[in-house]
Parts: sequence; structure tokens; C-alpha cells
Amino acid sequence: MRKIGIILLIIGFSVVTACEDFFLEKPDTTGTVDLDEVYSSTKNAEAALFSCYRNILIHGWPGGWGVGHGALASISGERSYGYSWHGTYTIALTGLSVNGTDGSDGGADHYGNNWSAIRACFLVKENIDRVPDMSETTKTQIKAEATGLIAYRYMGMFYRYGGLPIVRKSFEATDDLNIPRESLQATLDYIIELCDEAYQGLPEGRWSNEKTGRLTRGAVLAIKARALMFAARPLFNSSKPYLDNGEHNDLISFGNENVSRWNDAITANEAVLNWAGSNGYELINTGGAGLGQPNPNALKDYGTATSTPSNNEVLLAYKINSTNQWEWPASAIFYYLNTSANWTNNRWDTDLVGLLTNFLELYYKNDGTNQEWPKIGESSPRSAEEWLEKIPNMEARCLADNIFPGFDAYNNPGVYNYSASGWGRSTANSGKEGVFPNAISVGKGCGFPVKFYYGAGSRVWFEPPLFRLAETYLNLAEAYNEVGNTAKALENLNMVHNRAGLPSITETDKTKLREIIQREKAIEFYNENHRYYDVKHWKHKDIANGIIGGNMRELQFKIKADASGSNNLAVNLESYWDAVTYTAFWSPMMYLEPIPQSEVNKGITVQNPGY
Amino acid sequence: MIKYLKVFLLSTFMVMLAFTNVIYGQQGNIHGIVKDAQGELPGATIIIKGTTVGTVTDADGRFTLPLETSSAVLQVSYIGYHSKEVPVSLASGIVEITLEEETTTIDEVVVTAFATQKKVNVTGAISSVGGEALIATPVSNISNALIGNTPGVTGLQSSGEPGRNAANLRIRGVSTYGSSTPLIVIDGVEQAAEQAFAELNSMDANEISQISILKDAASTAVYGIRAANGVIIITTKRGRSGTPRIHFSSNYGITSATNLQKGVTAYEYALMRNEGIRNEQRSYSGTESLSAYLYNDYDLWKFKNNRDFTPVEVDAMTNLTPAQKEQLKNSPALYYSSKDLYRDQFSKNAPQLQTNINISGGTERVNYFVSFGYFNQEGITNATKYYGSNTGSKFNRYNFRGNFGIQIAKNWDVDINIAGQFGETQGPGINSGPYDLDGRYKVIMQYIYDGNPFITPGIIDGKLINDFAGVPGTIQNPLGVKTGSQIGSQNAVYNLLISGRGTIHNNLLSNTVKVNHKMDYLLKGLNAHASVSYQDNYNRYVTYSPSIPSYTVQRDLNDPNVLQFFGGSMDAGSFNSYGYSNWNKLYLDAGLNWAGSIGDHNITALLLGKGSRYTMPSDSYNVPSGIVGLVGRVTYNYMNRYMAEYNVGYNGTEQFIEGKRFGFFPAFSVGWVPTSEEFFPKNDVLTFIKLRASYGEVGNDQLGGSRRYYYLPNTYNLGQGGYWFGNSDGSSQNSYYQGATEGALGNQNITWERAKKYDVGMELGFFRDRLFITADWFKEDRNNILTTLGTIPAIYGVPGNSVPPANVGITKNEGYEVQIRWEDHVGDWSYSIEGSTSYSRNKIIYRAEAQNPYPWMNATGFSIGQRFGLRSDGLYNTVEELNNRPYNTFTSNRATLGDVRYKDLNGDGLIDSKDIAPIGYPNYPEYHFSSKIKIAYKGFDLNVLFLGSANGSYYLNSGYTIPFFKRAGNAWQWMYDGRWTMEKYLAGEEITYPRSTFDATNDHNNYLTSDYWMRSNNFFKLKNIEIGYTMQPDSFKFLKLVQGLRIYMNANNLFTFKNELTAIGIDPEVTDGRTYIYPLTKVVTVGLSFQF
Repeated sequence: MRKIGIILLIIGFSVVTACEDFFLEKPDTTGTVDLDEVYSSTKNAEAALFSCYRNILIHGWPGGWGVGHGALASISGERSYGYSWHGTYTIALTGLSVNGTDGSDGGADHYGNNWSAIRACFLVKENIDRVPDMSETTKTQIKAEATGLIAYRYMGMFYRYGGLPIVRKSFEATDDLNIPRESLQATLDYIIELCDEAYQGLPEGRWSNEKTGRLTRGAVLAIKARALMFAARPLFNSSKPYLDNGEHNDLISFGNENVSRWNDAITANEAVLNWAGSNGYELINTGGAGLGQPNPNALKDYGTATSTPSNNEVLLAYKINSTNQWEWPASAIFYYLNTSANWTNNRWDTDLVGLLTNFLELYYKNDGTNQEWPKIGESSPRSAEEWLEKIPNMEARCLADNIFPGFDAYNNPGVYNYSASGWGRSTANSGKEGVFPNAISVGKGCGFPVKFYYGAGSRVWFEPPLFRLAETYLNLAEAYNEVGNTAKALENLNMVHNRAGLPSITETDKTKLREIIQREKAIEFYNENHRYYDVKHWKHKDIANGIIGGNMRELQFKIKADASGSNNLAVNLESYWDAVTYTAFWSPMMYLEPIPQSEVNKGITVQNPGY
Repeated sequence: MIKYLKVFLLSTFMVMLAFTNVIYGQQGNIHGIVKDAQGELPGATIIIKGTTVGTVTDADGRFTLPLETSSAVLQVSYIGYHSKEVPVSLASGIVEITLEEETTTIDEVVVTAFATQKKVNVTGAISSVGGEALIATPVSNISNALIGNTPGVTGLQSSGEPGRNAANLRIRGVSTYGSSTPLIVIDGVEQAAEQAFAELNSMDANEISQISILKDAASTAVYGIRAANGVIIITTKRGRSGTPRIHFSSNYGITSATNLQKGVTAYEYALMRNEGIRNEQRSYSGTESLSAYLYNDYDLWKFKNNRDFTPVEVDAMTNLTPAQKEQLKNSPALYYSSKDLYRDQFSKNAPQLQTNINISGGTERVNYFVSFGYFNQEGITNATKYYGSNTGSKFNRYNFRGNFGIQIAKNWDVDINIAGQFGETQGPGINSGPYDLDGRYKVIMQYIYDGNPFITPGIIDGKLINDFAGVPGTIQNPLGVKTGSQIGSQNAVYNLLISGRGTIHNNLLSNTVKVNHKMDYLLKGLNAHASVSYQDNYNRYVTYSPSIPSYTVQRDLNDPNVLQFFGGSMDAGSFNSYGYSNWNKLYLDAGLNWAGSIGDHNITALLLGKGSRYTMPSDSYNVPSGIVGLVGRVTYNYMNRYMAEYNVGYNGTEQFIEGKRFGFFPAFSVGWVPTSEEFFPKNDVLTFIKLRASYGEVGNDQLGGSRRYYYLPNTYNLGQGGYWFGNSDGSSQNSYYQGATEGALGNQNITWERAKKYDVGMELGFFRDRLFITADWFKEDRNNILTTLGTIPAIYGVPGNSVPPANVGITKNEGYEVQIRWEDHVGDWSYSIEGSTSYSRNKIIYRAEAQNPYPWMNATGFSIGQRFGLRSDGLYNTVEELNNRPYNTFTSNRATLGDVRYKDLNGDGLIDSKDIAPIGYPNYPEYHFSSKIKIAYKGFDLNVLFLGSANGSYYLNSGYTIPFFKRAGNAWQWMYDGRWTMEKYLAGEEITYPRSTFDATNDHNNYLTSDYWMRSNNFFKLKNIEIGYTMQPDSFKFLKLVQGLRIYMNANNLFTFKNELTAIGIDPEVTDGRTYIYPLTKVVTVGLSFQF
């Protein structure tokens, strides 16, 4: 018995204490994918690059900015501000804030997401050389693509925030992360350096058909060209910052006004045109009417340029082709840019993003003159007949961009879901209760956006264009005007203006021409994320007066008392008038985005002035 | 099953083995018998003083000892009894020794980690609760029964639903923003951290002999890496030699809600809603169209009089006979009815039944305790049965326990514990997971909040009504348009009935075999022991979704006295069955302990190795979680005057990387009893003093994060986040290319939390310990708390929630416990009064938080769980106040008279996030009070427990505070009574609620998170009261077999004194932060128990 006791004792002890491996099992990590695994094959390494495309190029589009609900057009005087729970609503009414609304980390961007996307690109760039089954040529190209994508994001942050921390690698948690913001000049130099580096490594011309969508030299030139445009515009290109930022003025201003910045922009934009011309990219104009004449195919050509995937006007698009309405980021992008009845996922959440009168007034009539719309303060509402008469006389871009009450959408004739009765909800503020001169309702404006869906039929996805050659022409028009070359300015402006079916502009007064060019940019790029930044960098005189801030107006449509069926039907409209529906907030601090307070609190990153 | 059968067979065999052993004795012996008040006492220890010669009494309480001298002094002792010294001589014949049961506190025995100690010798901070106190608390969970029964243990409940109403226990408050769950040890077996309360909360109180709460480092250090949040040790009952004792107890009770939210009447609803609409119209332009939602004077008359038609309207109905008119005038409203939805749903009195029978006894070599228990509790929801639907909540539990002790051979003892718990928890709301209380309660309660007093009426004539049939706005649905609900006319009754019934069948089996071997042959007092335990839990979730007929209703146009019903179709119901978190756990330990004396120096030592392995097959890593380690202890005691202990735990878990797994956790404690000193004057006033102090370090490997294995390297997600390339013109999709994105980032340095704990205690006995005071002061410094780094800049490029956390957090927690007890008897009266207070306050010292512009914005420096919000400053009562307000960025500065006014803390003229500051206290209060009173007279006894707390807060979230949500949501009486109106303000009446609003949302000025909605959850409760009568033996002659027949009445959670939550209808012991709460319950029971 004693022996047994001792033996058991020894066994007991050894079982318990020597069985660490039994009690403390380790997870089986052989199936875990780590960095080594990703860069051990071409397939996985390329996958890492493709995710970079997905996450870099979404910048500014729904799902790619901090605000969980809405599109930039809802805070730039183009479209109404959305529902009260949308971030755009809060920003429109109370301005940008250092603390996010609606899930963002502050402002109208997601500061942190920029750096996550850039980190992913650096990881590709730093590790691609480890891939065993990949040619040196491919590795060089992939590194160049990653570099170009970093440049794209830096470009976007440049005109949102000003000077930025210069990040040149992916960090370890143990690295020194104490990297402050650098000056505007240093940031711009870095963007150009990245563009030049990417340009060197990218293939000469177009990618093969199946690789269409990958970064080309042309796209990289366009990144550089846009960055230089923003550098030349008055917000940065000025001796005095928009608000004093003390010792950090170099983050938000170059400290001098220098016309050579416009010349740099001209050179860069001409380079884009040159590259485009020699590689089959062109401003789509099939009318055959010749330079200087209105394009008879304006609706089709503008529609194609903005809507048809892989068209020759687009140098770079966000090729998000998912048809799954529930899958991010497709769901986010289409959510606020496809308001048609083809879009079924939570469609009611996008019901208050209609066209504002403020923007409607920018569109030309199809003869190039201005339309006469109802004004605030008129003594009585106007008749619906007048409305029904006016719309068909609007320019092609107005008709391609919107569906209006009383009309089927012009961009998809014959498609039920784009028709007045098939749209499925009101295309404008309307009601049987006549409350003139007050608003019947708020948010639906006078029409709903159908841009990007020209001829799309039942297709829900589209490819948001990131660089269209129309931008290059308008950049050149703007820059040539600024350096006093009116002839070149008009030549480039009319390329776009004529393509839209309008007769040539002949104005030669620099200031007036500037306004015309800015108006052209607004119309041509409605809903394409340009206006929110353009008007700030132009220091547009009306920025607080109906563009970003100020009174926002929406047409109101009274429906006949005996109307039946859809409010959108022409026969049901009785009268209409303009009403102020909300007053948007503007403060000069909003010229640039705020750095999130949580980031400033870390004591490394300096805030922009005013916040 | 085979496994359990084997255990049974083995134990039976061992029992037989035990009987075959032979007893032997010696010459020159002294014979004796040891008794207590009830009879022979088997198992008592007898030692001849000054020698090591000793024995224990046999099953009949008899003993025989060899005596070398003619006379000697016998030291007789038995756990739970006063030791006695008896002089004897060989001539004494058979000596009869009677031991007296211990009643005073200091001689009590306390179960500690891996040992039992006399309370007088304990140097750590340990409190204990006897099984009787638990039995006297007729609730289903031991957790809930512990609250108030011992200082330092607190908790809040998240639900009152049967089977899901366990409290979240905290020992000495909260010391970490990681996991604060204590370690539970049942009969020496550590429970898995993942299932801390699984077995405890399904135990039958009748099985439990004692529960010890180990609070300081000295008492918990041996549990090392799992000990930082305190340890709760449960000891189950064991048999004692003697004839079998059968104990039976049963009680039956009625449960009901402690507090119900009271809704407004339909009339009040209409008045207050009209007022809300007029408030909007008075203040804001563009609100003219809201007039469509106003109730007119006729509507108000109808609401007030519960009629659908005014007498004038009835008289105008030309197609009715006078009799029909008269009938209609007296007919209660269909459309203008008034219901209190919350009360209607939760006002049921539901039965509860608890029964236990246990048998215990034993012989010299075998003892047994076998218990069977049954518990049943039904939910308090009304209207749960309708056609195939049965959506009431119900909890059913069967308990079995068999504890056997067998001496299988000389020096070899085996303990076998077998326990089974078979539970059945049933409840509504099956489309959320069975453990997703918020989701389930939302399903069944949303329309209590989003509906209104006159929403479609539930069941009429046995038919479930889901809507009015008439066209809204017509005489057959007069309120449909005016009420204008944005979420439809569903009602809570309907939603409860169609929510389905889910039943969790849970079986938990626990088996422990423990072998003890006395090794006196190697070294006197040396013992070796080993135990194996296996727990197996199996559960299954079965749901039934019924299809039930529902109808729409309207009054007949020809004769409105007639109700017309439409609808009522019915499909087949459907069953589903799911497995949920089946798990098992193996626990092993083996060790040596030694107890010896050298003169008056008593020393014990323990060395033990242990390991446990918890397996949950559905775990994402498919790796059992485990813990393995060593335990060491040395105690020293000199004449019960000076005590010292050194405890150490050395253990590790699989959570951390190899090389960083094991931690060393030492603790040291000392005690001194001056009253035992020879110099201390013997007196009857100050009879006992003990001073003790401890310091030690313990750990917490439950980091409170969402994942295991933080140390694994950075991982990538393959096959998702891809992109499309190609030159399609849109007629077809381009080709999809898969992506690869960085996933979780690892941190190889992750390790356990570390707590440094200090405790200083004092025990004082006065008047022969009739007055006894225990006081403890404690302080804890916790560091290494797993923390998400808020200081890493964005350029790192890893989203904040993916930055690998690090062990950098630091907190401290400090507090005290004081317990005062007076106990005495006067004639036939005996009584005791006990009061205790415990206090703990924690503070975050560091949590890697970036410095906010203003100190009030930081969590650092405040308590864990501190809530933040705007600070209110009353309401806007005058136009001047309103016009001079700072710009509110949360609301676009919309505000009007009667709205909440906020403080601009930083004075920048804006109300924004910089004005968000700490508001109120955390939900878990800082102070807890309890008071126990016991009075006994002859057979009668009365036990009362009062409970209270202070310095805690309850936040009323917007689910409670917004009336008329989505136009037609509910409003509550406390809003109606307290609301602001200009008239009330001018009259100087008390105003406790802002002006009435209409269709407001979370971003309305009044419903921003602010201290306006912070309520104190301070309370004072009559928590438990029991009145009983135990029959005297002579009064029960007709059935001699039965002893100690006792009948009693008990009430738990009986009465809560008025507090800030009473009016709202919330029990102060419920956790805050949620809208949909199944109300907590009280129970009143009658019961009886007897044994034979």
C-alpha cells in the first residue's frame, strides 16, 4: 500500500506538471495566411494589389469618405441634404466638425482610412520582390501601380487638408511614428515624386483589354495635373492664407502668389492630352459638326462619356462592378448615386437627395442662353405648363443628369424603371396641399439624379469616372485664362461646351470668362465629386451664398386635387414655385477639412485653422 | 452513460471493500463515547494531551485509546464544535464526553483555497455564507442569493426573465475595464472562465454547505492568473456517520414584477400629444401641416369617456332603433379605448415551485449525501397562449447530487461527487439568438414603446386583432390618419404571440473523484491527494414558430354595436433545432500537504500541481483553453496568537505566447490576536481582538477583448475585397479578381493583467463576542490591463480597432467593508442584528488615451464605466433665456421654450463635443448596505434582510424618454405628470420633464445624452423576509418519525422604498443602457421542511 501511495504521488505530480502541452494547446496556425504566405505566389500578391485599387480609388465616393450616409453633392449645393440621420444633413446645417457625425472620424473625409489604404500599397511595394514566380517586369509594374495609387490618395488629401505627413513606408508598431505634417510645397513635391516614379515603372501605352482599369501612365499624368491645378488655384497659391494658422501657415498656403504655378499646371495638363491622343483616348464627340459647332449628338456623347464603362474619354475609373446590392462598397456607391427603381436595397433612405434650384439654374438652355426659373418672392405660383415647356428646352447635360416630374428620364427612353410612372416615388417635392409660398416638403428638390446611367437599362452598377478628358480641357481653359492666354482658354473651354450641344463661348474678359469656365466645370461634373473642392479652391465668391452655405432652394410642385396615379405624371401637375428649404452652414474654416480631434489629441498632428 | 455507470459500479465496489476491513485495539485501554446534543458523534478526534497518540470515534461515537499512564487529559475536537479537554484515568470506565456546538463567530470554520481553516487563524480577507442563508432566499440563482448576504459581493441583473435572471457578480467592485468576473471554485474544482457561472447558477441551494468569498491576494494567490477578480468557493454538503437522515423541503410561491412602467391613459395621451404638436407649431415654421395630427374636442371627449361616438352622434344615426342607440351609448370604445400596454404585458402573477429531498448518513467508513431538487418558475407575461402559440417564459430545473466518501483502505479515502443539472429555459422571441436578450426583448416589447394606449386592441372575443379594418380617416377607423403612425398599427400582444417559443435544454454533468492518502508512515501529518473532475455540458435549442390567426376589426356601419372581423387564416407552424455551445472540461490536481507542530509552533505546508482543459467544439480556433500550474503554501501559527502565511501560485494559460505564459504570484499575510497574549487582561468587555494584514500579487488572464491569441502574427484575409478589370461596355460585368487585405495584427507581448492588493483587517469581539465587528480596508493597483492604444497616430495606417492592444492600462480601486453584529438571547428570545457597509471606488490611472482638449473629456482620471454627456442647466423658461443660448451644434440650434438647456463648459459659445463631460456615477454603485435581523422565540423565527446602495446612476436612454416616437409612440405617466408647460412654470409647480414634443428623434435637443436623464439608482429595499415556525418535538407526537417540521413564509425583493426610479417603473437593481427590459420580479412563498 505504501509503495502504491508513493508511486501514485509521483505519477500524479508528473502528470499534472509535465503536461503543459496537454493543457495548454497551441492554435494550429499552419492554415493562417500571413505576409509570407501572401507574397509566396503571384496570385496572392496580385490580390493584395487589387485590394489596393478597391480601397484607394473609392476616395470621396459614398463608402469612401467618413460620412456613412450620402454623397458630396449633398453638401456642395448640388443636391439636397438627405435625411436627418445622414452625415450630409449634419454637415450642411452645422458645418464640418472635428468629431465625426454618422460614423466618420471628423470632417467630410475619413482621415484614418487614407493611411490604411496607403499602408496597404506600401506593403505591396515593399514585399512584391519576394514573390518567386513573377517576372522582374511585372514586379516593376506592380511597384509602379502601388506608387501611383499612393499618389492618387495623397493628391486627394492634398486638396482636402493641405500639407501632410510624408509617409515613405509601412510602419511597425515599434517604429517612430512621430511624423508631423510637412509644408504644402513638400507635400506637392512628394506627390510629383510619386507620380514620376510611377510613370517610369508603368507600361508605355494601354493595358491589354482584360487588364483595362489598371493604372496607366496617362492616369498618373492626370493625378499630377490635378494636383498642380489645386496648387495653382487661389486658395493655396496666395501670399496670405485663408485664415491665419500662426507658425503653421505653410501647411495651408504657399506664402506667395505665383503665376508659374498656372504654367506648371498647363504643362502637366498638356502632357495628359498628348499621352491620351497617342493612345486612343479622346473627348467623345460623334456629331461630326466640327470644332466650334454645337454637337448634335450631345445627349448621347455626354451620356456615353459619363456612363459607359471603358469609354475612351475616361483615363481612370473606379471599376466597381458588383451587382450585389448588399455588398460593400458597391452598395455604398450605388446607394446614393442610383436612385432608380432598379436599386432596391433600402431605397427610401436616399429619398431626400433631389436637385436643388441653386444648381438647376446653372444649366444652360439648349441654345446656350439662360433659362428663366421661378424666383423667391414671386406673388403667385407658376403654372405647370410653363415647367413642362421649359424642361425640353434645357441643354443635354441637364436632361442626361436628372429625371424631372412630368417627364420620363431622357437617358433611358423606354425603360419603365426610368419613366415617370415607373420611378416608383416622387421625383420632386409635391403634394396636393398648396402651401405657396412655403415648402410642401423638403429634400426631393425638382428632380432626381440619373447621371452615370445613360443607356444602362436595368444595370445597377456603374464605374464612377475618376479622370475624364473633359476635366483636362477645362483645367487647360482655366489655367490659360489665368495666364492671360484667352484664345487657348476659349479653345479648350469650347471643346467641352460644344460637345454638350451648345454654341461657342466668345467672352474675352478674364474675370467673366473665369466665371463661365467655373460654371462649365460645375455642369459638366455635376455629382462627380469635383464641385465641393473646386469652389473652395477657387475661393468662389458665392461659396457662402447658395453653394456650400446659404439658402438652399427647392422647387415645389402642387398636384391637382383630382390627380390619381403617380405625382410624377405630367397631367397631374398644377403649379410650381421656388422655396427656401434650408439654410446651409459656411465658415471660412471649412475651406480645408479638419483633422479629427482624436488625431490632434495625440499631439503630433497640427489642426487646420478655425477648428 | 457508460462512463457514469462505471463510476457507480466502482463506487459501490469501494463501499463493499470498506466494510471488509478489520478494526483493531490494544491493551490498557480507555473507552469512551463522544456525543453532542443530538446523540453520538462519529468522527470526533481524541488525542492524549502531550502525545501524538490519538484516534477518531466510530459510527456509534465510541473510541478506544491505549493509555500508558494511569491518568491523562484527552483533547476532544470535532469540526464545528468547541474542543474540550477531559481528564481521565484507567479507572474512569467508559467516559462520556459531550461537545457543544460552536455558535460564536471566531470559532467558525472557513473553507479556503485547498484547505479548511478555523476562522480565528485566517489572515486573509474572507467572508462566508452558510447554506441556510441561501436556502432562505427563494430565487433560482445562487448569484442572486449571494447579494446582500455577504459584504463585498454586489451585482446587477440584466433581466427578470425566468432562467435568464442571474446577476453579474462583482467582488469588491470593479478594478479593470477588462473582464471583472470572479473565479468560481466548486468543491475544489476551478470553473472554466468561459463558463464561470454555468454550474453555480444551476445548483440547488440545498446542496450547498458553505460559500466562501476570497477577496484579498493572500487568500486567492494560489489561483494566480485567474485570481485578480476574487474567488468564490462553494462547498457542497457531505454525509456524516449515523443513521440516515432524510430531509425534505418544498416551497411554493407567486412571482410578480417589482415595478412596472405606467403608461398614460388615452385621454392624457391625446392631450399631451396635442400639446406637443402645438409646441412645435408655436416654435417652428413649416409645421402647419402637423395640424392634421391634432385630436379635436370630440376625440378628446371620446378618449375621456371611453366611447366611440358622442351621444349627439348616436342620436343622429337614423338607421338605429332606440334600443340600439342606448346600447351604443353604453358600449365601451373600440377605437378610443385606453390600455396600459406595459402593465398589460407584465402584470401576471406567476407560480414558482421549489422542492428538494436529500438523504445523508454514513458509517465509519462510508458517508453519503444524496440530493434531488426541482425548481420551476414561470414568467410574468400575460396573454401568452393563443391557438398554437405559447410564448410565456418558463424555467424548469432538476438537480441531482450524490456525494460519497469512502475509506477504501487504511490511510486511503476516496470522495466521489456526482452532480447533474438538467435545465429547460423557455421563452419568446426566437428570431434572435437565445442568449441575445436585447434582441429578444425588442421583439416582444418594441410595440409597448412604439404603440399607444389605443393602438389596435389585442384579443377581442378570442380573436387576435392586428389592425382596424376600416379605411383610415373614415368612421370605421377614425384615428388612423390623425394618429399617423409611421410604424403601423401592430400591437405588443400580437408581437409577443407571433415571436415563437424557444426552449434551451441544458444538461450539465459534473463528476469528481478525489483520493486522499495519509502518509504518516513517511512523515507524521503528511497527506497526499489527487482529484479528477470532468464536466460535460450539452445543450440544444429548439424553437417553435406558430402560425396564428389574426384579424382586423371594425364596427358595422348598419349597426355599430356589431363588430365585424376579417382574416383569421392559419398555416402550419414550424420547428427548428440548434446546438449551442456544448462544452466539456477536465480538471486534474495532485498535491501533498503536511500539518505538524513543534511545541506551540503549528506549521502547515501545501504543494500542489493542477491543470484544466476547457473544450468548446465550436470555438473558432478549435483549441481548448487551459490553465496549468503549481500551488504552494506555508502557514505558521504560534498558540493562536501570531499567524503568518505565505501563498504562491505559479501558473500559465494558453492565451499567451510560449515563454510569456507563466506568471509567479506570491502573497504574504500576518495576523496577531492580542487577546490571546498572556499580558492581555481577561475581561468580559473586550473579549477578542485580531489584527491582520496582507499583500500580494495576482493575475487575470481574461483580458476582456474579443479574441483569443492576440500573440499570433499579422494575418491576411484572402479571397475577399477584390476588384474588377476589363473593357466591358457595361453589357456584362468585367472579370472579378480576388483581393487580399491585412486582417488582425498580433502583439507577441500580450500577457496577463496584474493586480497588487493590500488588505488590512481588524476583528473585534465585545461582551463575550456578542458584539462582533469586522472591518477591512483594501486597495488594489491593477496594471497590464489590455488596452487599445489611443495614442498611435493615424499614419500607422491600421484602423483604431485593429491596432493590436497592449498591456498598458492602469487602474486603482480602494475601499472598505465594515460589518457589525450583535447577538444575544433573553429568556426564550434570541436575536441578532447585523449591519454591513461596503464601499469601493475605482479610478482609471492610464489607458493610453490621447489627451483631449479639456480634462473633462478624458476617461482617464474617472471611474470605470463613467458615463459622459452634456450637462443640463434646467429648462428654457423665458424667451430671454432662449435667445441668449449658445449655438447647439448637435441640433442645428433648434430649441424652444420648455427645452433642456445645456451648459457651455468651455465657454466658446457652442454646445459641441467639447462640452461633453462626466455625468453621474457609473451604473455599479460605490456603496452597498445590508442589514440582517433575526429573532427567534421558542419555535418561531423571523429573518429580515434590508439592502441598499448609494453613489450609483442609471441612465434613461432615449427609448424611455422620447414620447410620440414616429408620431404614434407611447408616453408614460411620469412624463405627463412632470412635463413643462408655461402655465406650470408660472404657477411655480415642480417640473421634472421638458415640454411635450412630437415625433422627435435622438438628435432632438431634449434627448441628447445628458445628465438630465441621469437618475440615481440609490435604493433601500426590504430584500428578504422570512417568518417560520418549527414544531417542537413534543407537539408532534402523532408522528414520531418526523423531526423538525417547519413551516414558513418568505418574500424576496418584497418592497423597495421610493427612489428616483420608482416613478419611472424601473427596478434599481437592473443594469442600465437598454430600453427593453424584462422587469425584475419579487416572490412570495410558503414552504415547509422536515426530516426523518
